[in-house]
Amino acid sequence: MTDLAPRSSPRASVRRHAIRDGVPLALGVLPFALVIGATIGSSDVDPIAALLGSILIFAGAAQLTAVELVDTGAAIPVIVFTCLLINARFVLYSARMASWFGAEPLRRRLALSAFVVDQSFLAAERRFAIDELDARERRSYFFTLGLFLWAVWVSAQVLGLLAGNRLPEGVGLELAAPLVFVGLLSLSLKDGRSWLVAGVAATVTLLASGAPLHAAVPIGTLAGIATGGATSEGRERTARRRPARSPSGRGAREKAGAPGPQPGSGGPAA
Amino acid sequence: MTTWIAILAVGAGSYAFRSGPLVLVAERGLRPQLQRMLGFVGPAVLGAILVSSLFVSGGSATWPGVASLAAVVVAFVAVRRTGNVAHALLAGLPVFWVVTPLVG
Repeated sequence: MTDLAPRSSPRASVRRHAIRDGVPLALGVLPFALVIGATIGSSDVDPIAALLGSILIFAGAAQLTAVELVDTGAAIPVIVFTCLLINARFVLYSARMASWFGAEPLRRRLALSAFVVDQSFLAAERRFAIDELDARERRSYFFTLGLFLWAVWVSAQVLGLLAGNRLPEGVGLELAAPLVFVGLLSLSLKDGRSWLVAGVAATVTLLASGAPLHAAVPIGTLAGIATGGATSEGRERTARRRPARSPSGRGAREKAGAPGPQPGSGGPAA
Repeated sequence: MTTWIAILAVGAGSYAFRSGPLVLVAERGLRPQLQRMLGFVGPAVLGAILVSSLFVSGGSATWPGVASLAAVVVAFVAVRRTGNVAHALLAGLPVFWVVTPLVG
């Protein structure tokens, strides 16, 4: 990602950077979307309804799970519960986004919400940490990036449906999404705590891999966040104790500096 | 009919997850402690999703293979050095293509 010129950037420039940031992310989601399209084509699921899922659900793992569960004849409550558990991380993204878009009018917040996916959230978090964008530029960046990813996602699924089983094998299509995620992870590890958080989340996810209803990812994510919160609390307590002995010392400055990621600063995730 | 109901319900629920906190939190505000914790969402989600996509398949732990792991390590280092996410694909996929025939 390249840096934007702060503040003076016109909105067109912000949109260009959103697209530029979005291209590698789109290359990562493209194979996954093709595979989902091909899966829809090879299943007994109504293709129009399943493709509607690409528009409405706009989340690969949940959509693929929905298609597979419908195809195996699972009951509707099981399908809905399982898919929503997979998408539970959007609650965290949305809460975090309140620090970026909390001052926007309700209708804009509702519109921005439609484009919340892993890639758009994580790229925006990084971009907003690097560049000092005003509210309008942030909004423009997120809309552009989200719309771009959404268009690629839906188009690729239609292509995958049309291509069916003609998609090439052995070229590592299935590896594209993990590679993009590892790239984003690489950028998000800025200090010891972010390494710890990611390590705990990864370990717990692996340990919980046998959890029912694909719950390993939400369980691992919550464990990582809880670890980050606990280490922040520990630091804060230490900082609170220090000023008592030396009010003008380092402890007081640390407290004023508020350890841990602050809303809008991007934090360790960026 | 099942497909339509399931897709519509999951779509509606997912949108509620996406919009709910942004709508409600913006109205009521968020405790500083919770704000700090949300700063860890990025590395936590990425750590969990990455391990899940590489090491978990069909509800159990699995070995992704040397070629995939080599590609992931090279992608990590490439992005770490350049700061550009595109290099994850540009560096990682060729490693996968080269290593796959070597390890069989």
